[in-house]
Amino acid sequence: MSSAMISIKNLHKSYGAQEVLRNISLDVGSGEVVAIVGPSGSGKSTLLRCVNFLETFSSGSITVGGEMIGYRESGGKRRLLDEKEIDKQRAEIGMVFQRFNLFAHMSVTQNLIEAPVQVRNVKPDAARLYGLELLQKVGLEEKRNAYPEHLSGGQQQRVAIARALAMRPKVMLFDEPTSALDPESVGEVLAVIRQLTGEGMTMMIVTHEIGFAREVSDRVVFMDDGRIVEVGPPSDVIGNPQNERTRAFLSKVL
Amino acid sequence: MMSSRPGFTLITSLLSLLAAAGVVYMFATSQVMWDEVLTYLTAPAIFYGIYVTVGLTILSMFLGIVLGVISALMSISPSPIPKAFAQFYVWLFRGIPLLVLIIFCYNFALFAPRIGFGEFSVSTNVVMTSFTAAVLALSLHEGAYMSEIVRGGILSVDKGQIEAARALGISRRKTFRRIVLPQALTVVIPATGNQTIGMLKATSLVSVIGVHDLLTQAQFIYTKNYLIIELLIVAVVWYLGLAAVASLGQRYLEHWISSRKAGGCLVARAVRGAAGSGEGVIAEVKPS
Repeated sequence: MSSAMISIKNLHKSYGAQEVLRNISLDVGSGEVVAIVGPSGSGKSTLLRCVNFLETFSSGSITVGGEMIGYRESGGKRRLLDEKEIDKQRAEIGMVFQRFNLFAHMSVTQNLIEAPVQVRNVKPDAARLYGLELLQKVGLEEKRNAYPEHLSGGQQQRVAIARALAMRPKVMLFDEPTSALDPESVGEVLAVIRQLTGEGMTMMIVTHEIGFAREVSDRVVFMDDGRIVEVGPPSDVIGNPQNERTRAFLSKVL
Repeated sequence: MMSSRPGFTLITSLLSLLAAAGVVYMFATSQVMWDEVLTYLTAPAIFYGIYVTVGLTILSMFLGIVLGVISALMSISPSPIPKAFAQFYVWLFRGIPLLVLIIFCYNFALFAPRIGFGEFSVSTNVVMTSFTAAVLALSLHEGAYMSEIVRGGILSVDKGQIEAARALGISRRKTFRRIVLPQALTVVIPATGNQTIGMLKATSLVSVIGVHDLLTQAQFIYTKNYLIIELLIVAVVWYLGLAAVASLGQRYLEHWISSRKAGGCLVARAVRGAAGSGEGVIAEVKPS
């Protein structure tokens, strides 16, 4: 992991007096899959949302593909990027949400081509073609003209993954992608994510599926109270946790 | 055809029968001169009144929607000054009884005898004809209600979708136009239909300042011939007719937006220009 695709350095974030992220540093290599686990309220979703700047942060820095996210540093001071620049950075970072968040008034295909056409000025026909390819990949090409309300949760989430991939992002962020799903649908979504890991996509996955984290990730990050408590290969962090808090958490969820 | 609920069918049949009997009884025994009603139903003065009422309704609804959209966009703005201004507007013009507002507008000269900019000014009484005053009062009143309807429509759109759009790199402006607006309209359009029917009847209040609307025209006639109830019936028949037409229009519109493609694309395209600048709601997803 010589070249870090995502590099988080000394990240702090607080809401008023309450610190939600305390001095987070984490490098994610190109093609690496990092799973972030921990109790709710530990700051793992917030950390993920900082990476595509859906959340601002108080201090520290994040770079994705070598480019600093959200701010510009000059003369020791940091300045907020203007919106156009932030939009451009976000376009490079795919994000999948817990609640799918598909555009309800658009068909599956329209959901997939919206951002490529509107942001990247891709020709609709070309976007549709690539969209179809992605739908085949997530196993939903026959649903291309369906509307989100007619899809199951698992199907919606697979479309949401395809929608993020349609922008050909450098990295993918997954924010508890299976937490809103019924147990039956969890497997089909995990299968799609598993497939992506095989293709060398750089990914950060916030998840409660410990077994899945152990299976697909190169490294597991355990967070608690806004801090990274433990980080390492799954065999260590999940298989043989050193920290007491990690052990306590795992004993509850495993 | 057999109903699955025979009790319900029985009761509705009985009620219909009773209503029919009531109507027949009313026509047979009442002192209302139905032949006069029939005569005045198509009187030119009444037709003129319909023309004015429809004109007032369309003009005031149009201006009310414009005011309402502006006010709604201000009320969802992240900055406090436009927000406060919009809230004040809604509070003021929803709170003043429409009848009083109409009288105030008509007597606007009492508040400001001349209006204009600097050198150029005109006497308020010249500008504020009864028709202008009526349109002004109705629009201001309607704008306050439409503001809340539009605001509600925009806020009804799932925040997660806005966030997803922003995460894909779609700009604030495009997110509003392409994601928020089409979905807000499915809420706003049916409510606007309702408001239009309300406006149709609310225009009758302008009779107090002598705009020649349908009710005023009917009143002019009955002050001469004393056929008060007869002419009110004439007016009511036409109001009901207009309301029926408006209801049909509303039905049609609702059907049109519920057919998904129209809701998603065509409506959005139609209003894109009108509301292009409003993306205040997106600010809620902006990192703060």
